[in-house]
Amino acid sequence: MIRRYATLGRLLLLASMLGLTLTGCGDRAEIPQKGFVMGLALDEAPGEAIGLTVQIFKPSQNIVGRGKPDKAYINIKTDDESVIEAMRDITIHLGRKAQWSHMRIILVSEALARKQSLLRLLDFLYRDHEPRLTTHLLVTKGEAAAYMETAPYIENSVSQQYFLSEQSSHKMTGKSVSANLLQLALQSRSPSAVAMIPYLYERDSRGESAPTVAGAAILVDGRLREVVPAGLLEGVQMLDDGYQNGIVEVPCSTDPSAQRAQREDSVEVLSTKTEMRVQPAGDHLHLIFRLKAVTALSELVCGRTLAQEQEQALERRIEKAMVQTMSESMDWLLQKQLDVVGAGDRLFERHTGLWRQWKPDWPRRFARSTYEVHAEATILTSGTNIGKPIDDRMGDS
Amino acid sequence: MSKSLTVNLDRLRDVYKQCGDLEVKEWRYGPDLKHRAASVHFNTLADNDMNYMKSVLQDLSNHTIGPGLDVTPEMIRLFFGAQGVSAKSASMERDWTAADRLLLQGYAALFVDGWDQALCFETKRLEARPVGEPETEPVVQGPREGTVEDLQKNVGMIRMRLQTPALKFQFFRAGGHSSTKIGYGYLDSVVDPNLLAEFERRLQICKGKGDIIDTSFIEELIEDRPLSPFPQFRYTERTDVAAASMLNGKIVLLVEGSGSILICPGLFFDLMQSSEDYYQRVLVSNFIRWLRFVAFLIAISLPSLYIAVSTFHTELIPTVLLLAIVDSREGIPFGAFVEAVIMVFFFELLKEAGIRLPRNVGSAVSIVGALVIGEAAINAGIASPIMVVVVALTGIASFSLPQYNLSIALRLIQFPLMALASMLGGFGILLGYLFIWLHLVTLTSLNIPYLTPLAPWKADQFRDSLVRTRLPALIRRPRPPRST
Repeated sequence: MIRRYATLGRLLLLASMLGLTLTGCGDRAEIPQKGFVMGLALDEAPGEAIGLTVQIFKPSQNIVGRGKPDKAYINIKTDDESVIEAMRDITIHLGRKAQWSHMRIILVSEALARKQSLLRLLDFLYRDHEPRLTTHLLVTKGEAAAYMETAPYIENSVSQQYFLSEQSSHKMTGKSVSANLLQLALQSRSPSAVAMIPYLYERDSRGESAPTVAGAAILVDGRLREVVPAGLLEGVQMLDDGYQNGIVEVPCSTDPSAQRAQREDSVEVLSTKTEMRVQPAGDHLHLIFRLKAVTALSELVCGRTLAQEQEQALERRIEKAMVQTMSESMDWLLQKQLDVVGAGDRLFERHTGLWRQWKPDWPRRFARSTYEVHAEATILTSGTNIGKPIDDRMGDS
Repeated sequence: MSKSLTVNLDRLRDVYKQCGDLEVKEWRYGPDLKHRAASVHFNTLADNDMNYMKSVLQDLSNHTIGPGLDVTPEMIRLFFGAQGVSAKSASMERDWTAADRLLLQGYAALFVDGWDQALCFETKRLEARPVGEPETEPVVQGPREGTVEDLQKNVGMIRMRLQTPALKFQFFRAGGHSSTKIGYGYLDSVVDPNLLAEFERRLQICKGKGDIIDTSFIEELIEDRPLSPFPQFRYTERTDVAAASMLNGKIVLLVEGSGSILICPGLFFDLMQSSEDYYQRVLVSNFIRWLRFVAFLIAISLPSLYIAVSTFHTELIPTVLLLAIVDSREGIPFGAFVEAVIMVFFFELLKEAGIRLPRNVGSAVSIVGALVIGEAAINAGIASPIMVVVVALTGIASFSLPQYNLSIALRLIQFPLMALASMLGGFGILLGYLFIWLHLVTLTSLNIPYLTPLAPWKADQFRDSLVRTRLPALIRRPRPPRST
C-alpha cells in the first residue's frame, strides 16, 4: 500500500514538474496587467494612415474604489498604416496589454466608411480570438474620435452609453437599427451585399448638443453608400421585418394638410411580422409585402367611444398609416437603388438562374421593381377599461 | 489466586503500587471477629461510602443464616458457591486477570481469608453526561436524542429503535493499556454477509493490540485508503441515524467512552445525506440535497475558478461585473493566486482559533476575525473585496455539508486546485477535476466502490443518492438475501 502511494506521488510530482514547462494555453495575465478596451474609433489620418482612438477603462486609483475619479476611462490615439499595427502601438503608450474581449462599440467615421470596405478594415477584429463578433458597430457623422471625448451621462464610459443607446433606440423606437460584426459580415456577403449600420450624430436640441443614435448607414459591398434619415428608417425596418417596437402616429383626419399637433392618435407597436414575396414580372420584379402588427393604444384623442365599429375603423386607420410609412420608405429605396429589403437574396433563393442573369446590373434592375404593401393591425389593448378618450370633449370628430 | 488473604493482598499491593486511588479495606467478621476479609476498589471509580463487607454479610444473613456474627468462612464459601449472588452484576473470579479487569472497570472485589476466589460486584459510580441533543447534527424536526459516552446506554438507545431479534450486537475488548470495549451491530437479515465478513476480518487488527481511545482510531485502522482526503466512513451522534443506516445494510461500530458512532461503509452519497432528509417533505429535502451538491462544488473549486477566470479567461466575466472587479483589484500588490492563498489561510486560521477557544471568547474571535480579514485586509490593500466574497462563500459552502470530515477534506483539496488554476487556467481545473474523479472511482470503502450507486450503477440504490424518492419507494426497497 505504502509503495503504491509512493509511486503515485512520484508520478504526480513528475507530472506537475512537466506541467510547469508547458507554455500554457491561455494568456496568463493578472487583471491589473491588462487594459480593458471599452470602445474603438476609426478615422482617416494624414498620409493614407488609419487613426485609431481606443477608449480604455481606467480603474479608480483609490483603494476599494472609494471616491470617484474624474473620468473612468482614458482615450489613447495612435496612427498607422494598418489597424493591427496601430493597435499594437497602444501598449507603447499604455504599458498594459490591451484586452479586447469587452469592447462595447466600434465607431467608424462616415468619411472612412465611404472610402474603405469595413470588412477589410476590420479584418483583424474578425480574425483575432479576443474581440467578439457580437461587438456593435456605429457609423459617425464627422470624426469618430470626437465622439469618444464626449462625457457620458450615467454610464462609466461613453462607449457603454453608445452601446446602450443603439440597443434601446432600435428596440424601443424603431428609429435605429442594430448591427454587430457578425451581422455586418453576413449582410455584406449575402447576394445583394447590402448592410445597415446605425448612425451616430450630434444633434442640437434647444441649444444643447447631444450624441444621438438614429437613422442608419447603408453599406453596399462593405462601403457606405447612403444614410437613411431616422424618419424613413421606421418604414425601412417594417419592410425588412426588423421592426421590433415603436410608436405609429395615426392622424385623425385623412386630409394631409390638416393640423396634426394634438390631432392624432398614437399606437405602440408591440410586435410586427413582415412577409415579403418576390414575383418576377417580365424584366422586373414585383414585390409584395404583408405586415402583421399587434398594437396597443397609447394616445387616443380622436373619436368619442371605442365601440366595435370605431375600433375596426381605428384599426383601418392604423393600417393605412403603416402602409403610408412603408410606401414612403420603399419609394426612397427604389429611387436610391438600395436593396435593403433583401429582394436579391430572396431571388437568389427562389430563382437562382434569374438572379445570375440579373446580377450584373442588380441595383438598376431593383430600382425598376413594382411593389404592393398590405398591413393588418390588431389592437390588443386600449390601456383603460372603457377604451374611451380620457377627455372626450376634445377631438370630437 | 491464593487461599491466603495476606498473599492476595500482597500481590494486589505489588501490582497496583503507586496507584493512589486503590483502596484496600480490611474487615473482620464472625464469632469474636476472628475471621479476616478485605475489600478492594478504586475510589475514583466506585462508590466510596459503602461498607462492602457489611453489604455482603447482609446478603448472606438475610437469606439463609441467622445473626451475622455467626458467619464463618465456610458459610460464605458455601453460600456464594452454591447459590450465587443476588447483586445484579456480581461474579466470582478465580483468576487474577479477570479480577484485575473488573477492578479496573469500577467493580469492588471482596477477598475472604481461606477462599481462593474473589467476589466481584459492580459499584461503578462515574459521572456521565446526560443524553442530550447532538451538537454536530442538530435538526429542526425529528428526534433530538444524541449519544453519550456510555457504550451500554448507546446500544440500548439503538435497540429501542430496532426492536427485533435480527439486531445483533457483538462486543469485544481492544488490547493495549486502554482495553476498551468495542461493540458493533448490524441487522442480520439485511447486512451483506460478505461485507460483514470483510468488516470482521479487518477488526482483527484492533483485537489484542493497540490502544483505542475513540471511534476514529478504528476508522483509521480499518479504512481502505488512509491517505485519501475523502472520508470512507460516516460518523453520527444520532441513534436514529445509526438505526436507519442499519436498515440500509450498514454496520455500526461503537466504542466505550466515545459518543461517535461509525457507520461502515461510508460511501460518497452517504456522506451527503443528513437525517433531516427523511424528516422533511420530499421536495424540500431534494432541494436541500441539491443545495449540498452545489455547496460541494463551490467548496472544492470556487477560489480556483475565480483565479482561472480572472487570470486566463477574463472574457467570461460579464462586462459590468468585470469593471467592478478591475476597480477593486487595482492597487492590490499580489496576483490572484497569492491573494487567494493568503485569504484562505487567514480563514482556516480563524476557523481553527474559533474552535479551540472557549465558547464565549470564540464568538468574539469570529467577529473580530471577520472584521480583520474583511474590512482591514481590504483597506490595507492586501485583498480585494471580491476575493473576500469568494473565500467567505467557499467557507460557508464547506460548512453546509453534513459531514465535518468531508468539509475538511474539501478545504484541503482546494489548494492544489488553486495552484493548477493559476498555472493552467480552466484547463488546469479540468485536470484537477479529472484527478479527483479518477481517485473517487478507484476509492473503495470496505471493498465497496465509493461512488456506488452511480459507478457502478445500482438502480435500486440510486433512489436515495442524487435525489431522494418518496418514502414508499424507499421503504419497499428489496433487501439483500438473509445471511446464514
